Amino acid sequence: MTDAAAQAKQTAERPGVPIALAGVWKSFDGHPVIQGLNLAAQPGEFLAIVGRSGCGKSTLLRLMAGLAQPDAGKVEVAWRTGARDGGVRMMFQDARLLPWKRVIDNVRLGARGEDADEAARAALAQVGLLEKARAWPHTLSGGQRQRVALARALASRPRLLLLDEPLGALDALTRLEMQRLVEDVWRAHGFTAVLVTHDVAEAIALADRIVLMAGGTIAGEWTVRLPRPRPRDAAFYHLEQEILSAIMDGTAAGGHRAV
Amino acid sequence: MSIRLRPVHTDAAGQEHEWAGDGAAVPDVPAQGTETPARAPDPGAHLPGVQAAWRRAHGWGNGLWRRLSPWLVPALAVVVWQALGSAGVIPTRVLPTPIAVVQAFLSLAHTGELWQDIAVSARRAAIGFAVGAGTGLLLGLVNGVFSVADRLLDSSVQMIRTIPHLALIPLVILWFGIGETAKEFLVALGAMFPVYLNTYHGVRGVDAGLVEMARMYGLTGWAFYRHVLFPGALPSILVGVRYALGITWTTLIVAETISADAGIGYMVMNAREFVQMDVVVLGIVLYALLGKLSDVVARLLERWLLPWRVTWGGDAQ
Repeated sequence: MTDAAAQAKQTAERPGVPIALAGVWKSFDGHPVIQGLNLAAQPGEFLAIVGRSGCGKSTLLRLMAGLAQPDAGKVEVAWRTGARDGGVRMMFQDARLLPWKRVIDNVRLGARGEDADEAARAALAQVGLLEKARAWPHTLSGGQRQRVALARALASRPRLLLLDEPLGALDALTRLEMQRLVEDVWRAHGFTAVLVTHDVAEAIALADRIVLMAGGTIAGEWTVRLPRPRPRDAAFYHLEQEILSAIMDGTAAGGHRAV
Repeated sequence: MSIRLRPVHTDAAGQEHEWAGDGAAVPDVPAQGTETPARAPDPGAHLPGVQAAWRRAHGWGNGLWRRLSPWLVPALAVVVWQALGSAGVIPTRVLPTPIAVVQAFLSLAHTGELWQDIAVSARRAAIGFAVGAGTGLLLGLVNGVFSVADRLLDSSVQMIRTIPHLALIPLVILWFGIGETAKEFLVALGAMFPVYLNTYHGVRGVDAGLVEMARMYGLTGWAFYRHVLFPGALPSILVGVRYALGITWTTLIVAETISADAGIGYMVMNAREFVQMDVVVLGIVLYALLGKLSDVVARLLERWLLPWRVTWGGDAQ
């Protein structure tokens, strides 16, 4: 087997890409938001970023997405060096569906190539909304809209999925369903996922690793080894309390704990 | 861009419905645009929701009544008009009776003069509108998308826009004489600015979140315009088209009255010289009908091009 073929096989098996941020600074109007931040994610890892409102976690995600450029430091996402449309996808707080396109055509926006139609239908089926393929976005509920947005992200077989509080506006029950769905597709596809959220329980339910952002840098880190799907048991609750109090203190222990 | 619900009351009988979303665009349309969209009697337009609800609750809002009620007042007016004319209360030299107008219509239709005049006027309207609206659309898209073009052109366009285009008639006659070009030029000038302004605002008003999403999903160049920018601006563009259609007919009426050798305006002026009041009134009615017709066409265009918006109205009913 040639190197290229081996690489292709490996890519097919493990589509996730690594991320590395080193010494990243970013300020808006002279007000520093991110100050010398270092962070890395392994291929296929599910990373969650938690912190207070305005701590810069959304900015961090936008830097990873390439929607913003750092003032200093390096943001390395492997896809940028590879294919041009290298499968970085993002889910926003609102679904951002094009209101003038039917559901299936919105999903198709994310797909590329000759089998785009098929990929779009498959992605829509995966989020359980194939029967809504011909519907207009405004006829869907908020949860359904986010599922369509997820399908749109999945249609191109993403290698990195960035989630900017995509479940923040959903009701509690829909939220739990969506968490389950996100976890399922992440396990099925194997992409690298970065979730920004202020819901600590959501971070614990989904993430392999949780980092706490405060003062423009990483103030704490927890590796979560609870078995999936994660029951909301005593260990879950205990970890939630620990992270919450760290967020409220502002300055966490700074260390790294595995749970 | 905000999406507003249409008012509750919308039916097939030709009411105005003010669903068009881009609030920012409307105040900028030249003043003459506001009075034009529908010159035909249009009662029942803009029924407040409470009133519509009351009508529904009392069983008014359905069936034949609902269809016919908008025409009740105009029909009554025509009947009264005819009665007053027949009784001699209104001298026919001041205002001919409706029957006389219909007779004038029949005789002119029979000789074929009428159709020829309508065709000439419609042609002027179509050419002028196409050139004006096309230029406005192009300028609006270019200035909306490219900030360099915006800086270079927008203030000039805004300056020209503030000149009432009918004030240019002496100049236009000196430039183009009194032929077809002069009339088409005036119509084009009148139709251009509403389309320009609404296109510009439509493009600028496209949801920034959607634009960001499109970038993220690798939509660039032509694909970006086709999937995101143009459909996003289209509701606003169509508002401009409706205003422009109204201005088209207003302009044409004035242009044709000044100098013409064919067309509805010529027909009217000619009839005035021979004191054929019935033909004069017929001409005015024709303008009203043609204006209403183009408004109906514009609305059909909206329904056809914006199915995702029409459904909003459907939901509201």
